[in-house]
Amino acid sequence: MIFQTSFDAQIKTILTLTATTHPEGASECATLSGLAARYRNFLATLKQRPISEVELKPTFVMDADAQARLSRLFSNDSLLDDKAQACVISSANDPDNERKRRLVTGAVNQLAQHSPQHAALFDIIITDILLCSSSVARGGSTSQAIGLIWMNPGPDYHRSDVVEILVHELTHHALFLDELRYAHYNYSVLFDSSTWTTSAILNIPRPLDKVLHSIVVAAEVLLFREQCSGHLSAPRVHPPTHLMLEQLRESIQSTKRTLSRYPQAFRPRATQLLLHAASVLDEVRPTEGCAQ
Amino acid sequence: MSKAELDQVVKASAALINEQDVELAAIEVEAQIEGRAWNMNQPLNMIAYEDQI
Repeated sequence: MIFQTSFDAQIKTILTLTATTHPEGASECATLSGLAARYRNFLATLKQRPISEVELKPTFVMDADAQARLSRLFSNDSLLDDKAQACVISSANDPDNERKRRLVTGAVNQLAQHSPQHAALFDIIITDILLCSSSVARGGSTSQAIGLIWMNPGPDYHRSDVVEILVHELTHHALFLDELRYAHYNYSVLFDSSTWTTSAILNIPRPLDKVLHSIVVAAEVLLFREQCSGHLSAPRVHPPTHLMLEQLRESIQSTKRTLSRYPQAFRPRATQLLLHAASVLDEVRPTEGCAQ
Repeated sequence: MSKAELDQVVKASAALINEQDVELAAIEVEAQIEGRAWNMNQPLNMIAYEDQI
């Protein structure tokens, strides 16, 4: 979400959240590592899961028991298929973990080369990376475990595809934190399926909270391609730029139409993010065919 | 942007933190976490583009 707000704004949101539980020292915080320590302290107060306050950078979850415990958080949301109760992650004990770990590590390094700001935020916000296999999804984030991402890159993924997964999950997390600070939705309205709207990435009707996430994620990935990585000729994780732009425009228009009928669904901050995502579309001028 | 420059952003942002922002955020955090309005968002599992086509 750096391109849709700013790096400074993201840092201020994290700092502000940490000050809600630990006001002492917030205004004197002077380093990324100091902020990471405060953030982990804040996450611990949410009591969602154990948070290491020793490590200050993302670590891979390699312990089998921890993998099994954390994988259960990524249950199906019923919109991916009809197995509403099924766990998306099929195997916590993935024999392909070492390859995935090398690929993700390389992608994190590449993210830092493309955008030190994205990499710095990733290092603070993401505390744990879960690598497990699945037949239905390639990664995920959940508001039930802020700081944890799950990644399942395919065997033929290039490093640049995995970088896009990192940007994708980082943006979900930035939205979780932004929502915690400002509040985004009136959830009682979102339960009504007549308010569901076409999402920007999956291109299917989804609840408005997930649609706003898809819009902000799609906009960030497009801006990342435009400003950092280039427009991939055969992307595997997200649609090609021209198609994603088209879906994003349609999703934004569809969301605006829904909000004209249900204006109470979004709180002011969510509307602001939607309008901002709409305003950055003209910055993307796809010239595809860059190297993978 | 170097690490020193990134640290400088943290330092500058920290100097701008004000009590009112923190109080407003604290109200939201408490309402959302304690009141459970918030956690409706559930997992946001990603189907990759190639898995859709």
